[in-house]
Amino acid sequence: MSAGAAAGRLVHQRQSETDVTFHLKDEQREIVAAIKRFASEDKVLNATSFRDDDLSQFSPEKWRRCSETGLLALPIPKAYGGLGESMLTTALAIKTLSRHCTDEGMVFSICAHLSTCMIPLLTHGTEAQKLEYLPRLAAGELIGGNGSTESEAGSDLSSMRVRIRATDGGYRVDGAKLYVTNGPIASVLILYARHPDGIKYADVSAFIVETDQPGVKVGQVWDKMGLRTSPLSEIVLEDYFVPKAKLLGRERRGLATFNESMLWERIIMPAYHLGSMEQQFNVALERCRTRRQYGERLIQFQGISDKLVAMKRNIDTSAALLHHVCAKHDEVGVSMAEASMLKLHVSSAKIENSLDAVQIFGASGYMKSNIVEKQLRDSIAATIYSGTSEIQRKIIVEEMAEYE
Amino acid sequence: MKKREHMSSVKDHIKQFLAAKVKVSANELDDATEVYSSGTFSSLIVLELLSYLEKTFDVEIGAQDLNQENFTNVKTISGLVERLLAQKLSASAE
Repeated sequence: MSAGAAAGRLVHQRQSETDVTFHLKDEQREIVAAIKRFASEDKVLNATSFRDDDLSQFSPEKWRRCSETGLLALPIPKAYGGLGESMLTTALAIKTLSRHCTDEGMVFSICAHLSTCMIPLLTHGTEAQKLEYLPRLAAGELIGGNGSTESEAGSDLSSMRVRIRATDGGYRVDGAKLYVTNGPIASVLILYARHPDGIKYADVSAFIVETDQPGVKVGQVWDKMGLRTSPLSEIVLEDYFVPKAKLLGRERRGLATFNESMLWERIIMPAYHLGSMEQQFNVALERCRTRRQYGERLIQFQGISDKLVAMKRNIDTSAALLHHVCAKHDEVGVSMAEASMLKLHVSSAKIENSLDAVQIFGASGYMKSNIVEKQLRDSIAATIYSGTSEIQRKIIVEEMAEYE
Repeated sequence: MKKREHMSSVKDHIKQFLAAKVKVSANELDDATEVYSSGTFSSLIVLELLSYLEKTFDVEIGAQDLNQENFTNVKTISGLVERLLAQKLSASAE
């Protein structure tokens, strides 16, 4: 069969929702369908994506509308204002939002809110802390985030310099966190700081910061390459008082709390990546079906159709791995290395697909008016946040040492 | 169980745990094997060790116990666990 004939068959296989292959339960289908309806039909969600990106503008209105879908409440137990859904259902919902939403920054902020703020509270919070914060976070009334990265502590959080010291009734914290997603807009942050004494890795405490309290302020707000509608800033703490009631988890066990949030983040972010890849594929496919050069549709040229195949390969393998990791997480749990493999694969796939999409569009793909240009810029950080790809590989190799 | 035998089993537990993490035989680890020797044990392993000790011996390792003196090597870690077990035994006897 000629490459052209094979490519012609491919044209008719428009990228379908990958979740139809996952044998979803009826409830999951309803949730996915509801998110799809919202993201496809809402008048505000996609109306200003290019302008908001250009201006690095977060939209409180978009956040409110996304919150009203119940998306933020999905993985939280009903006792805390949530919907008590599984990791798989949460991931499918995020994937579906990302599939139909052109504002990737908004999706990214939602993922950060869920995994870096809500999950640590859920897994390590006291009953009082959960009741105080989770319902309002689940409703989107409060926006959350976390502060971990510092100028001297990126991949190696054990080197952090933000200091926490015991005082009457609690602790005092000083220092600055460098890259805090949702920093300028968050009401609640989970921050991590290091005690001046103790043992490495067991000398970090996590605590809850309410950003309207004395001693905490937003520092520099960063101007980024991509995900520009997801605000990122420094958070500066000056003699900030943490009452004992705001310590999250056990003292000096903060890295365990952080690791739990990272496990979730390394699963949730790939869900967002997958949805955005699906959206992007259809844009690229449509281009290949409609644009003609030398009298032929682009898809007739193998150099182009090979790219579409590579993109679909990345999508299908990412979908299969995402489903597997989510389902296993829900049934028996997954190791950090399993989450890392998912994140490693899907984040790389997202960048590869984004480069191919731009190449398919040629010169027009390089223009700010083209969605694929924005998608590429939004993709570049995928192999950096939630742990760089180098760190994911390190985690995977370390687990290999334990293989039988 | 006699105290000397109990000490041996605590150390054995710790050595077995650490050996499994870095895929060596427990016999290759001795009492002086340092927990923080460069590149041997990652942050995840240290945190897992704490969790393992607490679950295995049903003790609580408090923030005040997380210091260099207690976590230098296998011997000092087992010494900590032994003290916590003794405290627990003493508290239940009162």
